[in-house]
This record gives sequence, C-alpha cells and structure tokens, in this order.
Amino acid sequence: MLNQGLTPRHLEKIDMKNEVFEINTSGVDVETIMERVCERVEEKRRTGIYERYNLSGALALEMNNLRSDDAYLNYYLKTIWRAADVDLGDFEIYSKTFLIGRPAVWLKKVIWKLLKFYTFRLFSQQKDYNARMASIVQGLDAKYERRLAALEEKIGHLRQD
Amino acid sequence: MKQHWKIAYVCPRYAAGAAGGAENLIQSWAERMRDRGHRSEVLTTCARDHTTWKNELPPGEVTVNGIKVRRFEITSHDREKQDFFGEKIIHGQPLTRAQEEEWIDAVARSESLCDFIDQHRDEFDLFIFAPYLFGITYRGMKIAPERSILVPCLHDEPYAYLKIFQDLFSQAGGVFFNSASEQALAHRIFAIDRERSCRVGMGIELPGQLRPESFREKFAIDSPYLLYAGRREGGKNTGLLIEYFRLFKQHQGTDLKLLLMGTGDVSLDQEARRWTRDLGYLPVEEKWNCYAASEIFCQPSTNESFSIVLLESWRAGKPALVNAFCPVTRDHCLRSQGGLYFRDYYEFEECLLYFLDHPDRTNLMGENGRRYVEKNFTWEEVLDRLEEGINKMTKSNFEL
Repeated sequence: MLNQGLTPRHLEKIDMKNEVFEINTSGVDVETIMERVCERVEEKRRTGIYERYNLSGALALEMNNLRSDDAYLNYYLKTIWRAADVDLGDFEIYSKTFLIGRPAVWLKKVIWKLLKFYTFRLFSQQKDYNARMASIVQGLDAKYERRLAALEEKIGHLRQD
Repeated sequence: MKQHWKIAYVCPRYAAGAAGGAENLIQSWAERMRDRGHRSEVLTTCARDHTTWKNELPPGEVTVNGIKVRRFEITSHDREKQDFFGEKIIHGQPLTRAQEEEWIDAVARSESLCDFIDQHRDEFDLFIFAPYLFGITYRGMKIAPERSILVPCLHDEPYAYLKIFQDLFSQAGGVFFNSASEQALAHRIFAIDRERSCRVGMGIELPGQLRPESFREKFAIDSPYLLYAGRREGGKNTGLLIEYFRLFKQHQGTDLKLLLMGTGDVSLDQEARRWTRDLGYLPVEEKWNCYAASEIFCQPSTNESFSIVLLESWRAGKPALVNAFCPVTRDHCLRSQGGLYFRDYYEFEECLLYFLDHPDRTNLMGENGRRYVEKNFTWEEVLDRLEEGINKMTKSNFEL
C-alpha cells in the first residue's frame, strides 16, 4: 500500500522540527477520494472499457518510474498480469473517414485476417511465455515471502528462548 | 553566540532567473539572508547549461541582485565518461570507489573553485553547497567539511547509493533538507547524525496581485487548461504527461487543454499541437498569472525533493495532480489535502475526471493547498528555520 504510514485524516497535527504543522481538512479527504478513484478504475477494467485503449506509448515512458524500492516492486508484482495478458482476439474494426469508410473497413479486415493467419501462432506462444513468466515471478515472490516469514518466526522463538 | 555570519553559497550554476530548483533555492537564500544582515557571497562556475557544462560566462567577480558572485571555469567535464559510468550506475553494476570518483569528476568539476575555497576557508563562517550530485559539491565539501552545510536536493535515484556519497553526507557539518520525505530518505540511505539534520525548504510568496484574466487575454487562451511548469525533459516526465494527455483527449470529450511553461525543448507532433500550448519561459509576473488562470496543476515528475512549482501553484489557489511514485509530492498532497496522485494512465484519467466533475471539491483542494503554503512556507518561517538550523549545527560542530 503506497499510503502506508501516512494517514493525515487521523492526524490533526504533524510535528515539523518542533513547529506545529497543521493539516487543512476542511471538506476534502484526499485518501477517500483516491480510494474512490481506484474503485472506479477497477470497475472500468472489469467492464472492459479500457480494452480499446492503446497505452503502448505511455507504457514505455512509465518504465522510468520503475524503482527498486519495495513499494514500487510490490505494485508491479501485483499488476504484472495486466501487461502479460495480451488480448489476441478480434476487435471492432471501423473507419473515422465517412467517404471511404466501407472500403477502408473491408481492407482493414482483410489485412487483419492475413496478419492473424501468419502471426497467431507466434503471438499465442509469446502470450503463453508471458503468462508463465508472470506466474513464476509472482510465485517466487510469494515463496520468499513465506520463507522470510518462517525465518522471522523462528528468530522470534529463539529470542524468547 | 554570533548573530550574523559570512556565508559562501556554492552551486554549479548561478544567474538571474536560474532554471533549476537548487539554483533557485540558493539564490533566494543568499538574497534573503543578506536582507537579514548576514554577509552572502556566491561561488559558482562559468557554465549555464547543465548538459554541456561549457564555460559560457566570463570568470571573475560580478554582482547579481546585489550579491557578490565569483565565477570559476569548469576544468573537467567528460560527457563520454559520465555516460559510460552513468549507465553502469543506473543498471546497478558495482563500481570501485576510484571509478565513482572518476564519474563524479566527469560530471562537472572546477579546480580553481576548489583552490579558492582552500585558500579562503577561514574568511567564511560557513559554506552552503547545493545540490549533492556534482563534482563541485563533492570536491568542495571535502576541503572544510566541518563548516560545510549540504543541501542535497536528494531523490531516490541509483546515484544516491554510491559509496562516495556515504562520506559526503556523514562528514558534512550539517545537512539541510527541503521536505520531510527527502529527510526520511536520506536517513534511510546515509548515516547522518540527527543533530546535524534539519528541514528548511523555500519560501513561496505572491509577487503581487494576480491577474488571470489579463493573462488569458494576452495569450488568447479561451479554454480551461491543465498546467505543467518547470524544466521540460525526460527526467521530469514531461513526455509522459503529453502521452497521458493525448490518451485523455482521445477517450474523453472535454475541452480541457494542456499548457506547458518553462525551459527546455519539447517535441509536439501535429496532433498534440491541437490541444497543447507551449509558452516557454515566462517572466515572474506572467508565470504567477499563468498559475492563477489554470484549472489544475500537474507535476508528473518522480524526481522531486521539494517541487517549487507545485507549491507556487497551490499558493495561487489551484489543486494539484502529482505522480504517486514521487514520495515528496504525494506527501505534500496528503499533508495539505490539496491534490490527488496517479500511478498509471487509468488513475490519471480518473483523477482528472474527478476534478472536472466536482468543481466545489476541486476548489476546496486548491484552497487547502493555498493555506498549507501560507502556513508553512512563508520566507519568515523558512529563514527562521534556516537560522535555527545553522545555530544548532554550530553548537554541535564548531565555534564560529
């Protein structure tokens, strides 16, 4: 959770180098709004609204945000499936140009069918590989989490003894 | 205890209207501490551009806004070496200490500036260095560490984890931070004595009456706009903001536009030019009017230690949208209740829609931001903190 340790709605005052650092909470709770924002995103994801979004340009730039910090790693571990689960199915083919609309749609459909015929095998193998890699990475993470938890428990017992 | 100090501010670049945050901070401190009766001098280089480090300005003494500025030539800058080792650092490949030093010297170094500090160290009560990531700071601080204050402007970046900076931070007479998150990050990475560490920041005050209408009229802006201000470069995620806004315009039917203000090149294709306006560098008065005329301010950068532009936009009463991966700006939003934060495009879109659909709450967020800045970042408060920090440091470190 990115907001861990920062819960201003529960804190009226934060000490900043001995000075009182007041929080203005009149009428707005940013954390609640952010919870609502995340819910809306999940809702839209479930209903498939985002399926027509082409995020390739933005995703490449988002890589700048990747860091080694735990919070970042956890976020990407949780969302790795979103990137791995590439939709290879058909999609609506349309044209924005009214005059040559119908021939354009027909041409696009032909091109798509040809592309699909020649590349489907390659893409489905790649998708299979992505899925396996995502599972392995998440599985390894879970495995080491469990091992660390067991070791910490053991250390706790040893300390008690 | 001495009431007035003679302070040398050391920073790689210094000119009227400096574009960088650290340079801006140092300039403001130097001028305002002078007004409080302290003697201020600036030691800097002849460079203007932080990518080429060319000696563009003449060496010697000049006066900038009443402050004596001594410029020294850059004696070493090796772009090839900087990039060679820089790549290794970014990808987590270990370097020896000698290689790390080779890299920091390749970034920018001035022998004559270091010689000056060495020869005149007793003439100054203290030296204030900013930011941490340059050979000038690294080499300069080694000369008189006990009377040196480091203002690191630190981000969580691979460079921060180099061995050479462990010494720099632990040996500094004092380390002054801009924000709570930056201070917490530094204490996590470096061994810094808490007695020598404090938070100062920068004062944010209005230059006068804001006139958003005259700004809109002058630049013929009739649509509401999302504002970005600051350096336009990859490190600040300007490209990401343009890409996000492109997607937003493709999928949401609003007349919201994107307005860019600041220095640096920005490449806009034909499509982007339909909904983006680039005003470049604006004089102070127009910059403030630009904040006031905006609907929402966006700070997409993850590399911020304070974010002057975010606080300025709040001071103008505008709500903010920041990158959730930047602890400093997210922390500002949570403390002030003045803005929202996004982790990816979907959240960016949803946050913008929230702002547009809830004008009352959006205004309240802007108001919260304004009160947060007024309460904590007036120059009076900031300079009190700076003087108190210096006093605390001098008590524990050395006799002035």
